Amino acid sequence: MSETDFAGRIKADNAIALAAAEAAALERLVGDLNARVAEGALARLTLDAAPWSFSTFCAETAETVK
Amino acid sequence: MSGLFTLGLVEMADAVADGSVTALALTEVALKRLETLGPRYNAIMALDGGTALEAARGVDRARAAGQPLGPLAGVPLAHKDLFYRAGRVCTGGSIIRKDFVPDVTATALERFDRAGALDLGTLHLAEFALSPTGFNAHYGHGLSPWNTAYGAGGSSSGSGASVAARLVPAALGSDTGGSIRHPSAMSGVVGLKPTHGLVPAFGAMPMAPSLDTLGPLTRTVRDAARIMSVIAGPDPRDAASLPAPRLDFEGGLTGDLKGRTIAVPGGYYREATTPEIQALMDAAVAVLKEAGARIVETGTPDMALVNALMQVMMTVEAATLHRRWLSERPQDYGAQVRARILPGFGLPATRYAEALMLRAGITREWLAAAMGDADMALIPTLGIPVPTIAETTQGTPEEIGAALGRVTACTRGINYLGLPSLSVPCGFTANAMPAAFQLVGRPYAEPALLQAGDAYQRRTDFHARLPPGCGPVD
Repeated sequence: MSETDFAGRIKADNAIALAAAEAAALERLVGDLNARVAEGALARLTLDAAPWSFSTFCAETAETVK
Repeated sequence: MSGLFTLGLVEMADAVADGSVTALALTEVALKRLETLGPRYNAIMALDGGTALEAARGVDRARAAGQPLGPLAGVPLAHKDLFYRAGRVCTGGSIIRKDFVPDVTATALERFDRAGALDLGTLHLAEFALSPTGFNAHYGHGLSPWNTAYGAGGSSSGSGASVAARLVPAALGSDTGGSIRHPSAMSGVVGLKPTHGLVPAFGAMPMAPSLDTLGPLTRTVRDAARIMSVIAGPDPRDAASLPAPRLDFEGGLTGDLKGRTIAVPGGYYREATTPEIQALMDAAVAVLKEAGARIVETGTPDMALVNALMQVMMTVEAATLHRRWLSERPQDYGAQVRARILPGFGLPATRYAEALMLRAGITREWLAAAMGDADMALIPTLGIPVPTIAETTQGTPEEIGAALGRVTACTRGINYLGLPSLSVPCGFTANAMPAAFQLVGRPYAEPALLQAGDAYQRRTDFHARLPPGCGPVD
């Protein structure tokens, strides 16, 4: 996706206009975040992962607290 | 009466209860200090002295009539200006909300009211609670009582400055990526970021609801424990609070840590810490060991992933909440705040869903690596000395972003993990600014963290030191 495409998508989807320099820096940051989380998820996430597992984790922990 | 401002929260409550001081006297002193010293640190948004004085007289009448008093009866407080009180303006640090009057009252404020605390007004914060230093393009930067060339820390900047300067003995803050712990550390006071959901968030302006937490800033751990006794507990208006167990926050404050194990994680946290801060961490560990704690060294999992997951979750949720105004009123956002929200518009939905679905597993990974079988982990709150305002506001956007990233390096990941963290002042760096460690525990481990923090403060006096120029006010 080119820089123009990136800014254009945000404009089209969210009605938020980005300056050219702002869009370039934002695209780099988003690219880094996207890649890192995608890689981490590929290594960990399974079909059976509970979508709301954090709430379950907290509830389970709460039950063990006296 | 001039020394009343030095009393802590529990001391004030006890003094009102036993009749040695009136709520009115405490309130008059606090109002005078808020009006006189508050502007020096840009700590105040709006005061309501008339209502507070009338409430104080009511507490004194109730005591004189022998009526039962709440655990905070007559204690003057003020809070970050993002807690709604029906009929009172709540700006959230934004000019967009300069005239916003909510029609509900935050659960935490309702619980303070029931405990007899007095609400003197609202305190400065970063715009929409989105700056770790207290930056606010519209209302000015929150300033440190230790040196006004430095920020008070954010986003709960007015809370940190007001407690440090002895304007009020305690204040509420909120913490999405460190916004209680930054001002606590940078202003030299105690801050408790509770387990996500332990303190109901109803009626607090949201930033990223999956990460938002509410908690106290105080001078002593003892005072933070009392506040937690008042504000923690389930509320049907906040589903995240429903699994919270009933905890005893004050009963374990014995000063003795025998039987407790404290982990000191290396790896990422050590690399994010300067030698000067590390020396203060080592000294703090020695004090906790002297109090009876067993100390073990541990590792740290992949914090780059944890921090990225946190940023995905925070920016997507904040972008969702701010989309309308960012589209229709872009000129009403400061550049730094806008830059922190915008990434959320560019991320695929799958990344956000992954951040949600990975959360429990990543939290278990962190607990296993950083804590093992220990009761808590000790890491710096800020791994660097407090930066000047200039160091976090001048330069290219990338340079500013990097400077802010160093401030939040040890705090923001903890919000993704949803864990409780207690920040405790532990000395001063060469720039004469405060430093602090944080104790991080498993969900609902607040009583253990408070026990350790209290044991530390019984053996040190950093929390008792007064910033320059914060003595009695004529």
